[in-house]
Amino acid sequence: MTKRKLANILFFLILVLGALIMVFPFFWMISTSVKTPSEAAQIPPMLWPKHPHWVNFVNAFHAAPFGRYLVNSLIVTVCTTAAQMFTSILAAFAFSKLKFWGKNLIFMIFLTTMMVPIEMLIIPNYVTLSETHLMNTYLALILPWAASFFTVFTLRQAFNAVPPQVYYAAKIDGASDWKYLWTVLVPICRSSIVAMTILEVISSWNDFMWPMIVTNDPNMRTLPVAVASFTNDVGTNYPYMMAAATFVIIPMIVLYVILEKYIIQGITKGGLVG
Amino acid sequence: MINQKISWKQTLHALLYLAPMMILLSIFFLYPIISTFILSVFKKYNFYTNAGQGIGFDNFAYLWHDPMFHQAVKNTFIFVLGVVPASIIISLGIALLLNRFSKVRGFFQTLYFLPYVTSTVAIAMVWTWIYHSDYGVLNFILKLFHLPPVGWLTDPHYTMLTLIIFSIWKNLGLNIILFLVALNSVPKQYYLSASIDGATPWQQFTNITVPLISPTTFLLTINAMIASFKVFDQIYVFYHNTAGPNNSGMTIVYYLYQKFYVENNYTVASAAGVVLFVIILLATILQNYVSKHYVHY
Amino acid sequence: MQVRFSHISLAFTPDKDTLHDLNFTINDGELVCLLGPSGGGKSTTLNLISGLLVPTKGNILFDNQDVTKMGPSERKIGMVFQNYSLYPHLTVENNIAFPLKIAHWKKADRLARAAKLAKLVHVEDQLQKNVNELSGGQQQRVAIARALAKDPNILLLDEPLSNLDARLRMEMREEIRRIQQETKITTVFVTHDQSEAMHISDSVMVLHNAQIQQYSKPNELYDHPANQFVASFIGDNPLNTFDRSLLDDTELKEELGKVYDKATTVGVRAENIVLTKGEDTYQHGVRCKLLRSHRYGLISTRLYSFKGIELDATGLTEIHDTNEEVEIYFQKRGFFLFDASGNNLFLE
Ligand SMILES: Nc1ncnc2c1ncn2[C@@H]1O[C@H](COP(=O)(O)OP(=O)(O)O)[C@@H](O)[C@H]1O
Ligand SMILES: [Mg+2]
Repeated sequence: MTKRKLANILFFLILVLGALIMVFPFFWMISTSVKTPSEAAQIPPMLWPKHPHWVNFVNAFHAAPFGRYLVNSLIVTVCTTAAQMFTSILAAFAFSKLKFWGKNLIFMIFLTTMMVPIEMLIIPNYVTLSETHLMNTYLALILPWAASFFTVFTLRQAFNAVPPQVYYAAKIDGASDWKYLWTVLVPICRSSIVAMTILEVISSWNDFMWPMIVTNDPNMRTLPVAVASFTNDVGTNYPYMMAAATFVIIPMIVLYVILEKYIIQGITKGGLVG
Repeated sequence: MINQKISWKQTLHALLYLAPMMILLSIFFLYPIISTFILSVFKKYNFYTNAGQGIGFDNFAYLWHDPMFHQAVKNTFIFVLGVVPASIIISLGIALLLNRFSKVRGFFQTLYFLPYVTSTVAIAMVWTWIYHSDYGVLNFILKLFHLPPVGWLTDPHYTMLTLIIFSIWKNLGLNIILFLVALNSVPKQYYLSASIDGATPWQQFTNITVPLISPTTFLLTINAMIASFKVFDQIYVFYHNTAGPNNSGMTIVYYLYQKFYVENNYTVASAAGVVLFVIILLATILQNYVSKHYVHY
Repeated sequence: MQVRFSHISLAFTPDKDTLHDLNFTINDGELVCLLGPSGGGKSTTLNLISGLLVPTKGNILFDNQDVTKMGPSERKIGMVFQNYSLYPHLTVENNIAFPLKIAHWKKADRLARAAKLAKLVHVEDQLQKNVNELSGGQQQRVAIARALAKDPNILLLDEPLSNLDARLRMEMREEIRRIQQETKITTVFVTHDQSEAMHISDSVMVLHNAQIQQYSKPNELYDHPANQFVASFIGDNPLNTFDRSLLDDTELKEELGKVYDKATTVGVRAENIVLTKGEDTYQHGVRCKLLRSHRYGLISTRLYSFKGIELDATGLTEIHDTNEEVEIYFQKRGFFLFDASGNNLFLE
């Protein structure tokens, strides 16, 4: 009995230690953000400054046009997510409930897009967008991600789980396909849809390589790109850099804490697909 | 409705629903797949006219002989080997522990998952500060244990370790969550009957848990492998837009980026893309093969 | 509204007709049951009426208007499925009002109508609940109300009670009868439960093997089954059947007369085997031995052995010993002779 208790205490301590390691970088980011540069460079490191310089956030925000970047990130995230959900809901509905020629063939063709590393597609997409003079535009940041077969695939799964009788009942009640989709199917599957939406918000907000490649114009940068190049502007001012990192990270953490249930659901439903 | 023969009208109707996705994916996914393969076999390519000349495997020959590419492939595999097994084992361990303390499970799960929802670039920035040779917390902790400081971001010998530690930390949450789902879908009566038969907890773990969660373990392994093959963001941030001291952090995707974006050598970059594609394809095939033959569903 | 099928066939696969050359008329205001074993084509027939299925051959007429090519929404029908057909994201009220919303009714009007229908089906105190908070019986009440919302010409119910427990099923079948009589709506009710069909319908159509086996009043099915299939399917007790030849050396053969020669199979209902001769029985009996007897509550059953076969008998009260030889008599109303293709020879 006591041996068991001892083991439990030990295991619990391991969990706590692990959690501390997971959370420490976030704490350290905030803590460094509110230090002066010399406090930040102190050895031994101070856990929390005596007089936190909250004003660092304001100063860092103005050290580069973060307002602009924030707006860019918001526009790109909202538009990408909205477009992707819209195109995916329509396609998933067709694959799940409609009958048409070539259904399996079309499905298989687009299924291959799920297996291809997107890093491989960057070059041709870059060429396509330069040729259409879309470099440094919101469209360049949004369009390539405005459709995703992964989302189609996951939503189709959710739509398939709705019994066909509901579709027949709606047909008898006089609903068109379009009406059925938006007034019945989408509301029924709302938790899957919300989950996929949040996952896309997170990945769109955090996306780095593509926005970095299609924006030479500093005004078009999204927050992650801006933060990565912020070091060039402030050199070794770590408090400012940590403050900048906070701008990128905090919105997603807030979103996560509020909507954790859906995120976990999305991850567990979609996570094992691909 | 149910038994109607498929008609042109219905097909057209369905295509209207599919059109947005089909058009976008065709332009930004299907066409680029083909286009990358074509670019990779052009001897010369003019970006401004989007025209290629000469067909051959010169670009692949170039990769074959380029020491930098060898370095990239080697590092990528080191990275995968460093991240994947450790990450699977640690996350399974934590998932098991979390299951033991069901009252606080939700709270800890939230904490462990935090890194996964954060921007790699931004949190890598924080880690550059933790990894800092002179002022970093990590070296301070080493000093507490009377260990010499390490040039995490400056010593080429540590580059891969630096990247591996960060990446395990960053992606642990995902695996933990999926392991928790798998662990909780193991029927409870298996454990009950095993403990009636007098099986020790360790025997229960190896005889019940491990085989029953093997599909998840396997899928997570492959997913982690595929994700690790594509490592890029953290390298970019840790080494300020270089591939690390002496290119010690060069990976396949970083190589692709370097050739394409920095050197504007589109054909060689495409060839590197094709290599990446083949590697990931092989991983996917392996996944299908093994899951058909060895995993107990 | 009158429903008429004229030479309707339906094949899901080219090699086999699920329904073959169906002809029938359902009269306006009637409640008709489609009865048959699972896989008999009941749902298929119902879905042909609803327009969810399109016949391979033949025409469907509503009040003499050909609706064969019309889609389900144009036919002015209401339909209730066995389960899972309510909109799980809507409240009871909004489920009932959904068809009206699609038809662009004003909100106040459709809520008023929903309230009225809820009263009809007795769910008026559940209006604001979510449908998955309701019991199975309540859910089917809501489904009926929704089906009635647009004031359809025909109400179609596909095994609406099959997922309910036995007691609730009895209660709900009376409810459906009541609602049908209050609304006078032409109703087609699918069930595989013969007693359900016998209890609520004006007429019963027995479907089996792609065909209508019999279409008549409930009592007619019991008293004058068209064939061996109907005779076995209808009734609470099993139908005893045996080869005609077993009677060849009995005096009963003579009593049955000429029709006997055409018969191949004999059928006797368990409840029509008695131990004493009477006016309603054949005058000649057959000798049997009692094998054993059981009692389940009210019903007692006995198993007699007759020339190596076993006969079930129910409702007998006279006591005698096991293995004792007795003479049993067949009541005429439960005794049938079938020809080689199963037809009831007494109907000719
Ligand atoms: N959509 C369909 N496609 C192919 N076969 C079907 C379909 N629906 C029903 N069937 C077949 O038709 C026959 C009759 O089915 P159904 O009308 O559902 O029977 P019931 O409702 O009497 O149980 C069954 O053999 C069934 O397998
Ligand atoms: Mg049926």
